[in-house]
Parts: sequence; C-alpha cells; structure tokens
Amino acid sequence: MAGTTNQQGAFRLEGLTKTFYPILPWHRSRAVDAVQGVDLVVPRGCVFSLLGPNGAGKTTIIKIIAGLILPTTGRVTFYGKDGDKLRSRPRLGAVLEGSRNLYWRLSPMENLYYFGELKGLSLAQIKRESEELLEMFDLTHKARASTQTLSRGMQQKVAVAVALLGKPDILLLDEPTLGLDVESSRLIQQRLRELVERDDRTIILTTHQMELAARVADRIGILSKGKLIAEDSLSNLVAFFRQQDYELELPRLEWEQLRADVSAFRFTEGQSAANEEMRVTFHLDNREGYYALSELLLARRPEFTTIRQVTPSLEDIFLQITQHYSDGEDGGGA
Amino acid sequence: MKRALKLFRAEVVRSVLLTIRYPIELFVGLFIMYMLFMGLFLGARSLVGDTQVLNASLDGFIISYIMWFFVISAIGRLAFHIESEAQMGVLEQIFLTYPRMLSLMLVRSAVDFCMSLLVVTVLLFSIMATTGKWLAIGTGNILQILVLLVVTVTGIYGFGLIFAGLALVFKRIGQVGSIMQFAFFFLAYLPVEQLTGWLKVAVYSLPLTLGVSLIKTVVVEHGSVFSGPESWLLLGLVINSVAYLLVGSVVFLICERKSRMDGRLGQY
Repeated sequence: MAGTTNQQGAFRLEGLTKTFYPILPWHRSRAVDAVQGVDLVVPRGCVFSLLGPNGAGKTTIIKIIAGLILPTTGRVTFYGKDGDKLRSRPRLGAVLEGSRNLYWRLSPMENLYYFGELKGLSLAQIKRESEELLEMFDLTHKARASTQTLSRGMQQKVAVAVALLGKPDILLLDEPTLGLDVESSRLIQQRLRELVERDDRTIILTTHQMELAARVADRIGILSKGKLIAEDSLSNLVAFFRQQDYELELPRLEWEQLRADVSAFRFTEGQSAANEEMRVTFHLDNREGYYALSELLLARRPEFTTIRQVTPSLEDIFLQITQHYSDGEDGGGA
Repeated sequence: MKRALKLFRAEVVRSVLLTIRYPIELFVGLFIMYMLFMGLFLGARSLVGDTQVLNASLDGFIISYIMWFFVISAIGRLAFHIESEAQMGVLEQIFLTYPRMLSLMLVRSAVDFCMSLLVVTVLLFSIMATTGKWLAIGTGNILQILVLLVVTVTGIYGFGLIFAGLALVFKRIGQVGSIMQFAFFFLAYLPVEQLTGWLKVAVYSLPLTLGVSLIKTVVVEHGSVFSGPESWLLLGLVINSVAYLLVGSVVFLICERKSRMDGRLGQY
C-alpha cells in the first residue's frame, strides 16, 4: 500500500487545463487559457513549490487542487482517488488570501473554533489543537484579541494556524509569507518544515520569494503561461544548471573585442566587484554549447582573470527557464 | 444529524459574536424598522381618517409587516453573507473547510430565522405597545402560529437561496435584492382574500402570500388551520414552501457550480 501511495503521490494532476470565459457569452473571444495541460505527481511528505511569473497559473492550479475552481479538462486525484468526490478527498488546509481568510471581527481563538466546528472536530479537539497552534506561532497572548487589531504578520500566522487545524493531510499555501517581517517569515518556514519532516504532511506552496522556496521546498515546479515547464528537486535543478553556467572575469577592453564573437551564446554581463573588469555569465543549453564556447575561447585566447562554474541560485534558474521558454514561445519554438 | 447540530452551534456562536461586537448595527436596524412601521401606521391613519376602520384592520397590518421583516432577513441577509464574505476573502476558506455549501446555507437560514425571531419579538412588542393593539396570540393558537411561521419562512428562505446563489456568481446583487424586498412588501399587504379565481391561485402560489393569509386567519379571525377547509390551505402552504425550498436549492447548486467553473468564488 505504501508503495502504491508513493507511486500515486499525495495527489496527481492529469492533463489539467483551465480556460476562463467571460460571464457574457458574446465576450467569449476574450477567454483566457490559465492552465494548459499540466501533469504533475506530488509525493507524500514533501514541500512542493510552484514558481512562476504573475499570471502563470499558480493560484489557479492551487485552487483547482482545493476544489474551489473546476478544471475545464483533466482531473485531480488524491492518493489515487478521484478528487471530485467529496468523500474521497483528504483533509485539506489552505491559506489562499492570507490574512483575508479570517473573520477580522472575531478573535484568533474564535476563528479557530468556528473553522474547527466546520471541519467537524470535537470541541475538546479544537481546544487542544488551538492552544497548541497559538503557542506554536507565539500568539497565545493574542488569543482573545480582535483579529483586526493584530499586525499583518500575526493575522497571517492565525490564517496558517486555521489551515493547520484538524491536521490536514495536504496544505495549500498561496504566498503564505508575503509582506511578513523576516522573523515571522522564518517562523512560518520553520513550522512548515517541521510539519513535513515530523508529521509527513504534504505542502504545496506558491510564491514569488525565491529564497523562501529554496529554503523550504523539496521539489520545485516552474510555470509559465499556464504550462509546467520544469519540475524537479531543487538539488537536481541546481546540478543541471551548474553544468551550464560559466562565469568569466576579464578586462573591459578584452570583453569589447570578444563580445561580437560570442553573440551566438546566451550571456548576461555585469561589472565585477573591483568595477574595473567585466563579469560575464554564459548560460549554455547543453554540453555542445560548452565545447563550442571552449573552442572559441581557445582560439581567441582572451586575457581573462577568472573562469569558474557558477552555482546558480534558484532565482537564476527561474529566470533562465522562464526567459528561455518565453524566447522560445516568441520565436516559435525552443 | 450530529454534524448539522455542530454546524448550527458554530453558526449561532459566530452570528451572536458578530452581532454583539457591533450592537449598534442591530439597534439602528431595529429602530429603523420600528420607525418605518410607525411612519406607515401614522400615514395610514391620516389617510383613512376613521380610527375604528384602521383599528379593525390593524392586526393584519402588523402581521404583514412582521412577515415582511422575515423576507428582508431571508432575501437580504443570505445574499449579504455571501457578498460580504467574498469581499472579506473568507468565502473560499469556508467552502474549502465545508464544501457542502448548500447544507451550510440551510443551517445559516435556520440560525438566521432564530435570530430574526428574537428581533421580531422585540419589534412586535414595541409596535403593539405603541399602537395599543395587542394581537391575539396565546396558548390556544401559539402552536398554529409557530407552524405557519416556520412553514412560510421555509419558502421565503428557499426564495432567498436563489439570491444567495446569484450572489455567488454575480457578487453585487444588493440592488436587485432591495427591489425584491419592496416587491414582497407589496405582496405582504396584498388583500388576497378579496381576489378570486386563477388570480387568487396565482397570488397564493407566490411565497409569503398564503402564509400571511393563514396567519391572519388564526390571529385575526380566530380560525384553525389544523382542521376544517383551512387545513387544505395549510397543506397547500407546505407544498408551496417545499417547492420554493427545492427550487432555491437547485438554483443555488447550479450557481455554485457556475461560480466554481468561472473561478468566481473568491472574487468580488
């Protein structure tokens, strides 16, 4: 059973598409393809981060998983069972609108009680879990305060606490640390990791904050224009792009002479820390690109001071992938 | 059943807490409803002139007004809940936590009715004390009145579900709701007893009208709806209310699906 579950993942998206049509039938030409043929298996007990530029379809996908949006085609299965059927859905928790997911006129404790009752928990269970969650997020002293009087960070932590109530199997978080101070953000990140490592929960996280994804995610999915264009573990992505990024430091004059010859390669240029030299990073698509660049450099023999393989940050990887995909789309194929 | 009771308790607590946090809304609302009645009452008295004639029909006048209050609650508040929760951002969280939205709306209707009943009691006593006209409500007919009230209000909340469903899709439907409330004001005061033939059947098939008529029969004419020919009208009222509840539920489910299909659940 465990093997089956692992193969099936915590949940699976199969051929998922979503087209939003305007409410007026005569405006159907303005339909938007928000998600286009996404297939994805998310293993149990991991943090899966969905990254993508604005409008890439991250929130739509997370809402489809949550059952808040119905897909145009395709389906979602949880542990191998159809997600459309309410009885086969696992316990889901979500923070989709951040602190807006709460009744601001109620206190954190009252919010926890209300949503706990909706989840069907017993009063004793709600009391026990609420106290634990409020303590976990350092909110015990604010348990009875009106939520609207709390800081943004505190409200966000209450929203996460509400999502965690009832120990959901899958947690869906849409920008959970947006606008939070460093301390609150770190606390939430730490708690999320604990939930995965200690309690085997599965967390889906969408964010624009690369450092957050890099810190907490086990696997990364990158979306662009509704399509899943990359999906792997962070270490594999870094290893893959590490083979492809080379940084060269050389005098400005040398670079100006070399620049035209390397125009066939993708590169980004900047100034080195000393500000007297240029720092050029070449993004090579494959091993052939590496050989071609090596041959060219051997032939031209520029007076470079340093050449090194770059360990890309998640942000570098993200920008490369989305830019490459975008160029490919614009140019008619990648 | 246990789950329904838990939902009911959750909704009662939420509703009471939100009301007591902002009691001014409740008191101002109650005051406006009272003043509106007094305005109507004094206006009618100056128009009719003859106090005796007005007093003779005052019972019916009060009953219609009180029943209209339930319409305001059912049509206005069910849709208002959806609108305001979409605006707050909490609607998606509720749906995610408890996906059987229709069940939740039915429970909310029951809670709303109980809350409205308390408010109506205060309003009714204020009106009766001011006008000096005390309705004949006592141990002899209270059961009939409660049965009629619950059955009538069931139909009205069924009708309210249509607006709640429309609010899920279109969000801002407050204006339409307000117009409907005034249409129901007209229905509440329609002299149905004087109508005949198909017109009477057509008007009776609307929500509220038959219920108001039967409550007047019990309170004003001291009749019974549990026996005699009026019992058939009670059966008709039950069918009418169940039909509106079913239609409202179906429309709500269609709208809920449409809202999820269009991704509008969390939009405002």
